[in-house]
Amino acid sequence: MRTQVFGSFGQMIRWYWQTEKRLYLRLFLTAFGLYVAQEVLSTALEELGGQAAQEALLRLFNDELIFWGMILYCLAHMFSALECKQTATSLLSLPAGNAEKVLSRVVYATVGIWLLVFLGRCAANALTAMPLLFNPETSFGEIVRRHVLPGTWILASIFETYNVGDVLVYTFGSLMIALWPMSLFTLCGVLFRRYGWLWALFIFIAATFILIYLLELNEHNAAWINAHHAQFVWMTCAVVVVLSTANYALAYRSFCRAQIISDKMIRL
Amino acid sequence: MLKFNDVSFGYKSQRELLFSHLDWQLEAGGIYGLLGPNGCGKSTLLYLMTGLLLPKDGNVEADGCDVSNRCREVLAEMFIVPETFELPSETLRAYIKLYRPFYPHFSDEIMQRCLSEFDMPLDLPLDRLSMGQQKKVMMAFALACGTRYLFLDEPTNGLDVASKKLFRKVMAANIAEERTAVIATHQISDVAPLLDGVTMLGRSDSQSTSEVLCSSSLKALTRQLSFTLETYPPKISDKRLYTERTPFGYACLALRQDEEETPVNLELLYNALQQGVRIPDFS
Repeated sequence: MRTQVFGSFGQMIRWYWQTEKRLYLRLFLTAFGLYVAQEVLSTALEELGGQAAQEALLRLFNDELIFWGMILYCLAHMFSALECKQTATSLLSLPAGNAEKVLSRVVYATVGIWLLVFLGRCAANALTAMPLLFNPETSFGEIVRRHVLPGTWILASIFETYNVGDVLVYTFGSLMIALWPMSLFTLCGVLFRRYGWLWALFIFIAATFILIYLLELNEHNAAWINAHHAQFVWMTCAVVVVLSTANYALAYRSFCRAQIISDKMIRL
Repeated sequence: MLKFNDVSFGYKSQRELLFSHLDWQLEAGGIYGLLGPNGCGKSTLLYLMTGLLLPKDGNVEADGCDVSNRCREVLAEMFIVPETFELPSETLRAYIKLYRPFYPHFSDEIMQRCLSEFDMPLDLPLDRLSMGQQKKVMMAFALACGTRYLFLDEPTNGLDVASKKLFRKVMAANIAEERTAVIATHQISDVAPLLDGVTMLGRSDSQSTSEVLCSSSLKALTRQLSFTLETYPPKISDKRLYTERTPFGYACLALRQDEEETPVNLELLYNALQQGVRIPDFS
């Protein structure tokens, strides 16, 4: 039974990859384009308005914004991408359980999107490092090491931290922080046929404001957090896990109720 | 066996239910025609049978399992060829490689046989094929999957006359006895020679919902009904159910008594049922 489930899981991932090659190419090109645009704009602003203008741009249009923006936007689209005539009927009638279809989709798309955005960043770095190829003093390996790979903020942070324990904590913390918005954008992508990402963004911003009020502006809570910092971190993690699980469970329930009406997948 | 238990279903865009408290079952084994006028819910019934649509009330069972759950074991025994579909830009070879692991009873032999009958190449991108060619490919794949249930929605739409004949030949040659095929169509003559049984849908005068007007094997229909062609207008009798004027005379549908068995005239039966004639349940 377990072999069968894992077998279907692998088959589903293969199916997603084969049916969505073009979508992933588009996502990669979008990430690549955004990073290139950021590089070009920041260089142009540095030339025209000096370092202050460049820093002002990078405060708004920075690596993190592009990275997380791309990931969350793509997550909101990963179920609506299946709605087209070609895939909707095939997906629902494919011999695999609903859980296998949803779980493989979430895992595969999440990992795939992270990887695509990361590769998009590397490709943009490679493009901007092209002129260095004509510099005889710089070797190819050095260009790759210094300009293509370390340019990504994830790798840079890991390399800069050096301490393995810190890296693990950092990675775990990032994943925990990312889990709730990722699950929220996934849920909204499943629930709404259009503008799922907009709904998710609205909820995310509203929730962030409420959180800021509760944690920062409310003096009583702020004092408690300062006094019980470790307890607060664990509590936050627990709440994030519960909320994220609820989001994924709702997304699963919604997928189970999906139907094909006029060749389209209708979920609400 | 496929079984509808008190199924009600309607689309949100329509005020009325399409099916209300529908009880209907289809014995396993054989090729069944699902016939009915446009908009009476033939495709909807197929989609309900495959779990692509979910009933508002009641449930649909395939061999005792609720198809609404869309569990792997049930889906592995079902294949549906919708009326319209889009195929990817892959070649047929790549398509088979991608989909065949999902179907444990997939037969390369049947696939090859069907493709050679349909004269379809393996290495042409599927999206470049014409609609008729795509249908042939999908039907070949559907037959090769070896699923216990096969559902075809208007399979002859888009096929030329020669291809329709070929379709009947391929279907008859490649569907094993234990498999159940349900063909939804309004083009009765295209599939009539293939059928072991028919289910005819329609709307009764008193209701706006669709209902099963007749569901029976052709053997039972042959035993119980008589289909004759008479030169002169027939006399009214208790046993005569329906008469229709044709270019060759008067086609008559009657309850069979002692006369010889006659081949089932599905078009005549269909017209009679759509005109409000009701026949007894022969199942």
